[in-house]
Amino acid sequence: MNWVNAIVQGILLGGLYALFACGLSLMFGVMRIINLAHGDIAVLGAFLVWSLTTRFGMNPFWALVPALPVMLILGYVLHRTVLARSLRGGPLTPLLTTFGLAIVIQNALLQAYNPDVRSLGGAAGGIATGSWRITDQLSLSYLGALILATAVLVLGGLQLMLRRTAFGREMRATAQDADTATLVGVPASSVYARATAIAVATATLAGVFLAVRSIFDASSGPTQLIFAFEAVVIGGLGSLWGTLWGGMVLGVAQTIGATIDPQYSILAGHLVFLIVLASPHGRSLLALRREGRTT
Amino acid sequence: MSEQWTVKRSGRATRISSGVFVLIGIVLFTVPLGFRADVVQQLTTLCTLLIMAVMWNVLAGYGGLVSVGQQAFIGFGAYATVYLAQLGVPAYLAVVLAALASAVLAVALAPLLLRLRGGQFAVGTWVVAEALALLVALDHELGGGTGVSLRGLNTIAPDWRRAYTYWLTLGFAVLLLVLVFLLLRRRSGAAIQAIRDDEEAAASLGVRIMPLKFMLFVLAGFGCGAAGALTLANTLFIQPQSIFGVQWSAYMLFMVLVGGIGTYEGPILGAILFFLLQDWFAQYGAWYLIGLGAVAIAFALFLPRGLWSLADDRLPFRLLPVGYTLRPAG
Amino acid sequence: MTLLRAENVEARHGLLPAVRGISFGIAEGEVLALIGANGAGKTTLLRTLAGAHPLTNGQITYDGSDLAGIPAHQRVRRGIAYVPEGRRLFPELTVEENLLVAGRRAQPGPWHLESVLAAFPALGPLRDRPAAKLSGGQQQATAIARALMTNPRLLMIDEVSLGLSPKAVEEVYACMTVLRDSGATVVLVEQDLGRALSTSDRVVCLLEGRIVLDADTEGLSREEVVTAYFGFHQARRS
Repeated sequence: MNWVNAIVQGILLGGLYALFACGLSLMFGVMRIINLAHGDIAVLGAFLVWSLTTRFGMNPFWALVPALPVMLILGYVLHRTVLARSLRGGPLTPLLTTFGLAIVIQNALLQAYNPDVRSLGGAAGGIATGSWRITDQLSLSYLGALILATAVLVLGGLQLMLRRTAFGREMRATAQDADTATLVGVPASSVYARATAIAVATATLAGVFLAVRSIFDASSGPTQLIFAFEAVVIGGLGSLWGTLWGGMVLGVAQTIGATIDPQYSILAGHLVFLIVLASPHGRSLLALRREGRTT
Repeated sequence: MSEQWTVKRSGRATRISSGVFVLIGIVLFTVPLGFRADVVQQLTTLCTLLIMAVMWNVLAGYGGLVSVGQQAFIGFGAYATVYLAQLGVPAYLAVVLAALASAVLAVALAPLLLRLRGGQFAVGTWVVAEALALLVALDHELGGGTGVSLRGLNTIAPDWRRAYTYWLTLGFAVLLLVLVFLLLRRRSGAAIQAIRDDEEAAASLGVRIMPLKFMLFVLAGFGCGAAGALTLANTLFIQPQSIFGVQWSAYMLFMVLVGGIGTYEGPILGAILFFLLQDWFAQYGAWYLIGLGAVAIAFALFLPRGLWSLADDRLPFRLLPVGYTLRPAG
Repeated sequence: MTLLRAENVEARHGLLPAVRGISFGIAEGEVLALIGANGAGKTTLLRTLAGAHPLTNGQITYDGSDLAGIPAHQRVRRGIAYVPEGRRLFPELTVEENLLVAGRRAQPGPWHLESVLAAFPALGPLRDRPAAKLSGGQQQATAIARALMTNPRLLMIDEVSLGLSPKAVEEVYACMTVLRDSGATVVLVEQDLGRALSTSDRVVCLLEGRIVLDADTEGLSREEVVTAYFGFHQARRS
């Protein structure tokens, strides 16, 4: 029964990782860059919401209403000022730039707030603590279900946007052949900037859920980036629904590891990732990368 | 256009500057004989930074492999030294063996990691570093998460210990610089530069990329392992959180980007600059690191070939004979 | 009226000059055939006009205004369309999606999804098929149709019949008649000299990045064209 519980909790946790991962996956799919500052941007979003909740006594979920547009704009500006330029510098430059950005964000947060560990759980009220009891051994937390539902909605929404809307078509066209996209009138840099904005907003959502669910501090970002990356790779690069699946596999690996010994939790996730990477399955997943799929 | 051309690797100016380099190397070996202990210790730190910068440049500058996980080898080298010393191996021998063990680790990891490209390689190496840090923290013999001291060096008088550590570090730095120099001078040098300029074009011209990348990855594993082991020998105490910390990658990135990625001399310049900055500004904590990150971004965007390119473009000759020059024959 | 005027246009690949000081004009409603051997600079010239390749020197005036500094996607909105060599469709988008991407930001005009599909009846049944799964001729038709979706005033088609079966070439040139009748200004790059001469009003021949022949097709002998093409001796300029 313990195992069933571990699996259920792992699936719920997977929703959080998928939410972290989808922005990373989107940026990789459209621009072929891995944003090494993704985790730190998520934590930046969490701090923004934390400031709103402490200053105005808002519920963190209500604080998302002003915070998400702010982060969307921030993502757009980030692309226009830094990433667009780095994309012109060759394949290594975006990596070097986003890593530098990660260092800047992390330490700016450390300077602006402090190294204290904090949580938004208290401010979120009953939803952070309540749960449905299924059996003696098994319970479903409201928050876990909310996170998973949000992840499904966000991924489904992104999928629908890519498939059905004119902007989604432009995004897929740009992902497949940016040079030709500009030749049929698509402003590729504006498409990139909007993709970055969306990625930053989803990262913020994930960061806030992380902060409500457990604890965070100025240096929480890198770990979340690693988890997001693991979810993306396990689920198959560039596939949005695969990302959800990858998040769940990672989540289940971690909760099962933790059931054996809490020290094994994160290690188990890393090991599953490395096994996927080493397996022939992982090999074929990585080979897909060059064909440039986004959905 | 029927003039005759010959390819030259060095002129007189280059030979003189190369001689100066060798001379500096010899002078550096005599430092412990005349200076205070803290100077020696500082110079040891500088040499480990230099090793890290040169190794990271070997990966990113020559192999096109941006690693955010070289701390895996730094930490592995340090902990392998602790482990060997606990088995009774003399500490300095343990340092050398640990560096070799790091090279073996690189050989083992290469098939897994070299499949990844670009950002995937960057984060993939990082995951390996994190996994190693967690594994080490599980082992109580190695001090678990709280850290461990290197035993076996306390029997040596402190001044001599620092001198020995310094000589060994300088020896490693010189050895690695010579290895990279030879790599660039031999046939592989042209292939490496072809990969650096355009990997796919190089592949289509018949450059065998994988063996070269493998060689660079193992060399970097060896060098970073040595740097980790030497850091331990210099400070005598390590914790998994810091020795496996991603800040090493940040430092390496900074040194190489500011000095000049893909050049031989750039990382040396970058390491010296970083060492001085560290000395002057580290007291400012987070602000200092914000500055480092911002400067790295600025260099990546606006001066991608680093400070060395400013000097290189103005000098009429190269300081070291690692390139080719066309001259009219006669 | 001159729609586009190139003055002393130069473009390079790295350090190698590909287009070395070209001046010519394209009149509104004209069909111009751009010919020349491989490496003569035809594609680079068209890409430079479209804004997809940097202009090293010279000036391009379109509809009375200088195009300097105007990015490719904005030139499209002003009515310059370019069908690249090798078609370059978006492989995983369907035919319809390929067309709609191009149509989204276009100026209003006669061409929209329905009218384009009516002009290219072969594409109707294929509209939900991914572009990667089309034959060469179907791809070329889709690529031209995609360019039409932007309601161009100037349509530049690179390597119209390269890699197509004879039947497909017939189909594509049937489309060309549609274009002509719609009054569009067309520049086409064509290796088949006979086709080039029979379709166009004017011929411009490039050799090593320079114009060696610029003449009305009418009254032009095949021999003159061949001489210019291979550069045996400096051809007469009209």
